[in-house]
Amino acid sequence: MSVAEVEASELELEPASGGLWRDALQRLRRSPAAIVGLVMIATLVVVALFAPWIAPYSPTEQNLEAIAGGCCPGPSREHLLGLDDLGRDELSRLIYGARYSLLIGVVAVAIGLTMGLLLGAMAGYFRRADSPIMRLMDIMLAIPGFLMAIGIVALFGEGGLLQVMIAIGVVNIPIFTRLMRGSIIAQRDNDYVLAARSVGVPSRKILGSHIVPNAISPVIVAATLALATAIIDAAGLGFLGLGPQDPATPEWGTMLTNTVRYLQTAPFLAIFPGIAIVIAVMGFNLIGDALREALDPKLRGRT
Amino acid sequence: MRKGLKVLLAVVAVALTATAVTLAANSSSSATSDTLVFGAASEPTSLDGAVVSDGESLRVIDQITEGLVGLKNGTTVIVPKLATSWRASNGGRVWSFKLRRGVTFQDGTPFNAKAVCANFDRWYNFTGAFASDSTSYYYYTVFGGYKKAAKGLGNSPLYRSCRAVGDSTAVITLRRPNASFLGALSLTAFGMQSPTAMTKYGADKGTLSKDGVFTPGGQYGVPGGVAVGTGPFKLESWKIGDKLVIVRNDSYWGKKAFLRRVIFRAIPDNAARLQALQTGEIQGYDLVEPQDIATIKKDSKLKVLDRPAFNVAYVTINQAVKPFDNLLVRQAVAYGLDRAGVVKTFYAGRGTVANEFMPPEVVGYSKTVKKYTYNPEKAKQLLRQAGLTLPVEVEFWYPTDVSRPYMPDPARNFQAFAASLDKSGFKVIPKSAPWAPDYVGRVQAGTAGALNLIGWTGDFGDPDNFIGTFFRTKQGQWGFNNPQLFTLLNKALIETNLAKRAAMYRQANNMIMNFLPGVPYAHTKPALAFQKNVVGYIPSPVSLEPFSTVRFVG
Repeated sequence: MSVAEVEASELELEPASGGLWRDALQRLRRSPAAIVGLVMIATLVVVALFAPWIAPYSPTEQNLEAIAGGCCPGPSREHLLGLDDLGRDELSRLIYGARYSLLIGVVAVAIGLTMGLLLGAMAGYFRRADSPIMRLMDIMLAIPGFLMAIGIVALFGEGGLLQVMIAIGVVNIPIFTRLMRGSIIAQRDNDYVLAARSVGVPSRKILGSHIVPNAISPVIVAATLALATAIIDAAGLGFLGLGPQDPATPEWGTMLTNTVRYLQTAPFLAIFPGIAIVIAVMGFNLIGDALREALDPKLRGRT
Repeated sequence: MRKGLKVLLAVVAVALTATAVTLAANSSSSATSDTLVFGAASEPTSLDGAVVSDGESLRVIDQITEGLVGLKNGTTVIVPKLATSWRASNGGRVWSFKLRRGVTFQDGTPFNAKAVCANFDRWYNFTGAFASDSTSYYYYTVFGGYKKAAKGLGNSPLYRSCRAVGDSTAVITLRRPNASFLGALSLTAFGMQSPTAMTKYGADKGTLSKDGVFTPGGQYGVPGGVAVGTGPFKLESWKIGDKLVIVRNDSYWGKKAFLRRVIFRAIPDNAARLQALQTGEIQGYDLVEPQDIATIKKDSKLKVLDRPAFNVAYVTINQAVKPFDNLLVRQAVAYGLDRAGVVKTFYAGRGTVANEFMPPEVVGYSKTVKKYTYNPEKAKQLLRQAGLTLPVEVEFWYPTDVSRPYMPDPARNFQAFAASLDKSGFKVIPKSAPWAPDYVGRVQAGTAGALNLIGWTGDFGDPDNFIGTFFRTKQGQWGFNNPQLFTLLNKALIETNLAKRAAMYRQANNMIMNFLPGVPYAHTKPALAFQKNVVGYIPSPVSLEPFSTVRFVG
């Protein structure tokens, strides 16, 4: 077979698979890990959205009488996961906490993603911008992410939800920038770019409507994985006391901090938020991993 | 994914610590018999006694420096220390102190009358960052002012001069008589420090932030620096985040310490301190949480020591913040705080509800003060009466990274109070700051919101040390000017007839609880925990215990 014939036969194979995204979806559907992850996250989202209807109690309603006998009564019929150190229903707090964790995760990643995409696309496409942007990213990467997040929150003077989201978002910027830049560089010398340029399409448009859509799939994978890390980082910052100023906020990391002193008498108060964090993070990790495999061109056809 | 997993493991590890600790508790103690490791609740802010007012700093300084007089161990009885005897003349205005002979500072310089005067003159001549009620808190509250009036502070200095007569007599002249002067000299803040060392290491350099937080500028009393007194221990090293080490002063004038070395490790987390004690990493710690006492008592290797209740936890109401200058609003706060609930639930039977700013053991405690029982409806009604629309927004501050004898878990007290205030027509805006270095300075400077959580442990057994310290002068923390109250407390301060004095303080307590500059809520009996083989630690009502009497047995 000549080279032309081989290429022709490959071309014939392509339409059968029906495009990158549909392909990926099909592969995802067949991956048990992805299904498990999807179920976990779907549950979490539903719980977060419908928290007021699902939660049996208010997350901030205290019952000092109930814990006057010592901290803290464990699971019972009225309180399925027990009461915390102020007599609040632990289950209700966990349910409302899902809102904060998802919110922090999504907003933080959105911040990192937006900035990262912009910077990465510029660095990848405009050669002159490459070096300055990438050196800046190198500097940011030189500082351990979590340390930098702590520093950024400290810079604001006080902790808080918004501060935590911004800090984690900023930490994520270099990750997305590098990825996007690499991906763009791989695309920018392709024939279709050359074709677009030769018919006089402006650079901005080439970048925006031709290169970026083709270069974005690894970034999507990274974003899913970054969601998991963001939730962990948020919990970590909350645990270090840099979370919301109001200690009554049912944020999972803050819940861990507030109850760590009762480890000896009521370990469940630390274990339950811990499990919630594990579920959220695991869910996003499973989806992210499956997505990566599904979108990897090297693995195409190996379903 | 990798990173996610790693951090994830860390979270799981936290949840499993409980189990790990129980296992680790069986491992043997690592200390040698002449070194004691003590678990402190936070790092000291400075080791220069003149510029601190927090217990963790004073605890260490108290081992290094001594005052002219001290307290008998475990009591508030005044005993000779660096002065062997003293005499007051000219109606209590002139005090002449006979000094102990043959005492040297830890840097080898002699302790004499000139050194005493140098210390007194240093305090009196404080200016700039030092002349502030948040930096030299004790000096300002006891001595009422400096040579040059400090910005924004009242100034009526008690001190006039100090004269050295020969080497061993220091004559201190006051501007007016003062009944609590001698008792106040037992304060760690008035410990004698080596003038040579203070000059050499720039003890008089420092800056004050606009929020009232003092930062030393020299090498005196700071991490990695020096602090020189005459005490039974001397400073060896201090590294933030690691440890603070003091070693036995072998040329001490009195009975030398049993221990060769005491190490202070700052472990802010209560649970972590308990775990460190159980594993033998530390041999003792202060501020045992009420809920942990049962656990410690059950352990055959550990013991609990009790301190007499000598403190008060209270909520500051800063009248410089509107509308809290209105008495009705302050009353609403008092009715809106569920004090009984907090004390009953969080203090495990070791606390009583406080109705005034001093514990019942102190002379001048009044039985007839106005009491404010939790009543959300009444609070709302008072707020409406004050012409306010509900809910009334209020910035409420609480400290993080700390536990105090009167406030084992500030965040928990805060949340309970915030909830009860929210039910009483307020809308609480939560604010927090780490105890050291920000929170205490902010509270004292009046930059910690309208309400904040704080408290006080008495330094010596005098009513002036409680309500006098708080309300004798105009202070940033409270933001009010009440000449009637100031006059009464200043009169009580110089009254030498004990019965009359007690009556004046009773009157003052009644006046204070009508005026409501703040809301006291708890007196507690703090607890300490030690390994069983540590003996000689004598709990003191003022929370300052010498380590020189401590030793190991068995």
